Amino acid sequence: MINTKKFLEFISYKENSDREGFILKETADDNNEQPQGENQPTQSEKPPARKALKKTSRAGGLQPEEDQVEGDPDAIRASLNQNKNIISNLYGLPENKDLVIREFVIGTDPEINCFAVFIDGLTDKAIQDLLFQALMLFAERPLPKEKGGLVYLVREHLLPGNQVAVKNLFSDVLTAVNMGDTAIFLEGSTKALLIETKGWEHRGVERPQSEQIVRGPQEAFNETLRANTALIRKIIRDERLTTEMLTMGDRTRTIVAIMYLRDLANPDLVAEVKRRLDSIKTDYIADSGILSQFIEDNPYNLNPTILTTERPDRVASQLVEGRVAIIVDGSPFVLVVPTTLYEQLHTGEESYIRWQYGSYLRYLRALAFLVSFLAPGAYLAIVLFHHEMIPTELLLAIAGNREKVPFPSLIEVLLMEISFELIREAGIRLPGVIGGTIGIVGALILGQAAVQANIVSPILIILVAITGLASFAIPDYSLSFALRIYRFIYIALGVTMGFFGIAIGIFAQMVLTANLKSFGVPYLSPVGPRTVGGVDVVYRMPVFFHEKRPDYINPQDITRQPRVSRGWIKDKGGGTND
Amino acid sequence: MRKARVCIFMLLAVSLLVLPGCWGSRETDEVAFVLAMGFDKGEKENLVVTVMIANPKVLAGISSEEGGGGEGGGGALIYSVESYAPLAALDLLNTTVDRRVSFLHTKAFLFSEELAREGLAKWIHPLNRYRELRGTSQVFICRGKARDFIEKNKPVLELSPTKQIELLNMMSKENGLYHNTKFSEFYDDTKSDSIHPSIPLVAIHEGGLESAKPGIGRGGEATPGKYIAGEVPIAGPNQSQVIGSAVFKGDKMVGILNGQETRYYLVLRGLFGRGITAIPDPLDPNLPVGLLVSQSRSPQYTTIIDPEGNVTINVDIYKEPEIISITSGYNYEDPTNKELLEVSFIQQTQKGLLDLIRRTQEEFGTDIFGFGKQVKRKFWTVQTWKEYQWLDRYAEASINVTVHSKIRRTGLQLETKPTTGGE
Repeated sequence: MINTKKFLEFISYKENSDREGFILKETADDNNEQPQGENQPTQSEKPPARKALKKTSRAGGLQPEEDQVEGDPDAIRASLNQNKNIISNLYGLPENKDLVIREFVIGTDPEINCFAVFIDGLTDKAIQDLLFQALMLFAERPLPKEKGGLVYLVREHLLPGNQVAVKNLFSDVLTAVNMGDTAIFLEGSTKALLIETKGWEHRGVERPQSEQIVRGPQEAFNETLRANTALIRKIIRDERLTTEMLTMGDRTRTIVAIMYLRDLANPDLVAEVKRRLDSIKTDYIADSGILSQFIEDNPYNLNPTILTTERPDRVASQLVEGRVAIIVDGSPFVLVVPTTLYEQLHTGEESYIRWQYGSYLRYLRALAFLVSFLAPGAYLAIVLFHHEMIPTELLLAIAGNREKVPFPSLIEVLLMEISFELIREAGIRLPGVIGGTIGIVGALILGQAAVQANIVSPILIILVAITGLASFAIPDYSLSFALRIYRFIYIALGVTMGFFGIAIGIFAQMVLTANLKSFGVPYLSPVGPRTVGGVDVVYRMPVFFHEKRPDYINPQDITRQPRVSRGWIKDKGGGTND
Repeated sequence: MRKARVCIFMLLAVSLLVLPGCWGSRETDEVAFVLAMGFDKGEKENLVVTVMIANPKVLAGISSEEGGGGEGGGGALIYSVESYAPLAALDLLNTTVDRRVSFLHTKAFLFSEELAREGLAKWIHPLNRYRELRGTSQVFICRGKARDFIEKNKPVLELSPTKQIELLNMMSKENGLYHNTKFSEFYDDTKSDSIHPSIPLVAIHEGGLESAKPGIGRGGEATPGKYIAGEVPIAGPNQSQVIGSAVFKGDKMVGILNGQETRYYLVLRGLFGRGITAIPDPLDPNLPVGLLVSQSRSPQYTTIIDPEGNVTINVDIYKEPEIISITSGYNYEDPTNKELLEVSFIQQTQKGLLDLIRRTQEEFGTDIFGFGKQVKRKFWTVQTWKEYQWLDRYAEASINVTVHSKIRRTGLQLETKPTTGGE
């Protein structure tokens, strides 16, 4: 049969095909031999020009504008009325109430008829008032002779806006207006002025919601792209920190920013990120979560291969290791690539507290990692198959407490696990004040009542509680999801095959996880494959030992700090009061 | 097509779980855990098997009926069944016990002395072959009936009867009056060509203090180890006792060692932890000097075989006594007096050790000390060793013991002064 042949092919060994995809190649291990900064490979030319990547610095300078293409339907006409009609058609006026067309006259000599186009709600009214004031009241200059120079006169002498651009295509105008800019069309000019007036309602910078820490900065990203890039740049005040932007989503026209350190991030990595982003064709990108699903390497594996964080300090620390951050406008979560399993178990707090405490936290978290998906399965394996594995008195305590329970232990475990998952889900959905308390109170009351009603045994409540706590101790939200699902797989394996099944499960999970890659970096590095261990993988060495950046990122400069980073220990002089 | 593939994959995944699944899973409430098992000689059939089955409801403190079997032992139910073999007894027992009787947590196997003197091989072989057996279970020889011991043994301090056995294991290092024999050790030793097994003795002491033996002032021995199980004068809530050893030749019990001899036995095997003993005062033999003795180093063996095959074993024993009481009031902390005490202790210990070795050679003819393991090293191949028939020739071996001792500590006192007044 064909199917059996296919199946045999599926399960038997095959030579690795070239499906490996992108591999982050070793960089020449620099000992500062490579001149830094200048010899950038030709990364900026690489991306295909479907969506032109624009540098952040919106050109406010005096570049020569391209000449108007004759007869181009996209071109701005010289007639004000024509322009107005085109704009009305494009936006579907008068049904579309969002767009405002404000007609006015510039008070020059002679006067010029103009109209401004903007979207109500996306603009800052104060800035707009200032603009109109300047144009209508304070503009008293003689007109230049050439009509084409009119826009430049207005831009250079009359408009007080901080970012003013001149465009001659409607598509450019539309993009800008959709982003909250104000466009001004002048009578007789085939160019339009685009003035930066963005100012929509948004949340301020608040505390992180899902990645709280005790020591360290308490700022989180919000929904505004510009605020987010600023939060990162506020930490890395380096001119080599580059932000590239592109728009994605045919309908949402979401701006996506890529941030990296120009002299540090591996150019191949940056090019790969751009290549993947450029190739995405979709209509709706509202959040980085959607984008991450489009660009991740292994969509079918449970483990997330892209780090998602809402903490600017976390992103900054990853950027200086040579990684690339992807910021999506409207999303308070920033993607960082490449990432490894070990980084998903870090929070950043370990760096802010002393290294002993940090290492302790890490080991605690490693324990939580194992408990969160293995504990219920192991419990079931012991209770059903391996009675001899635990001390007699513990076994008798478990057995005694189970005597009154009418269900098999599998049902008992599933009952509690599912109740716990429900509490967890409900705790997030429940409104406001109730939500916070339902988690603890609900679990306590439910557990207590279940024990009193002899539905479950008290030992199981402890088990489920510990498992739940362990899964909350996993700092990465996605990874914690993955482990929650793995938990049920291990329950099935433990029930059917005992520890033998759990061993099979661990082996399979290990192989599947080791197979993952995150933007060319093996997901389990530096452990599988084994590379340079580093001082910040599981345990954390003191900060002055952090001499190298992670090897598997292959940054352009691997050295973080010299061998002796604490200069003061070299000169033994001590104080000056001798 | 894709849907079909997914379906096939899911089907395979499920059958992978289901088909190889070991359906031997048992809920804890389907199993009756045997905590201890006793073997007696039967009247009509060969064997009376007594099992102590844990009652988890009582042990977890959720039982509605109070106690169950009185204080301490309430967590256990005792059944006896007469059968022709130990494992058949389990099946027979299952006609009344509704849960599957399991050995997975059996901590102790007790054989009555009567049974042991007839030979245990035929009873321990099926047990050793049975997959549920724990090799680390303790083995005991019970003076009197094993059933009586299991019934009357009430470890009052413990909630679970198994804890008593686990604690016994540790306490052996504290007093040295008995040793521990694991089931697997015992089984191996019955098959060994270089050592004979020995098993600790347990018994129920029904009486009170009347079984006491004369003290040192009345010509008795000055050691707590002069008793064997069942004779120690103790009155109290629990009547069970563990002291002394049963000496085996192969699988047959041939003799009994008392507590002090068991200590010497442990010393010779290097397993002695520490224990309190007494020697007659060198200056006033009617009074004892109390010593807390510990073994400072493992024994050193030197074995010599001459061409005729005669074996000489020299054993160096290292013991460190600490003074705990000087009844006479002589100042033994003084270096010269201390030497006197050391010499006396060495002589006494040496005599005790040699007496015990002579007893095993002449009376029992069994090498319970495992000297054979030392002699074995002189043989190049196992064939020649087997031909040598060590266990038969053990009685002819000449064994010398040298005791090295140094009193290093004198307790919390540096000097003994006579009490004032008096007379």
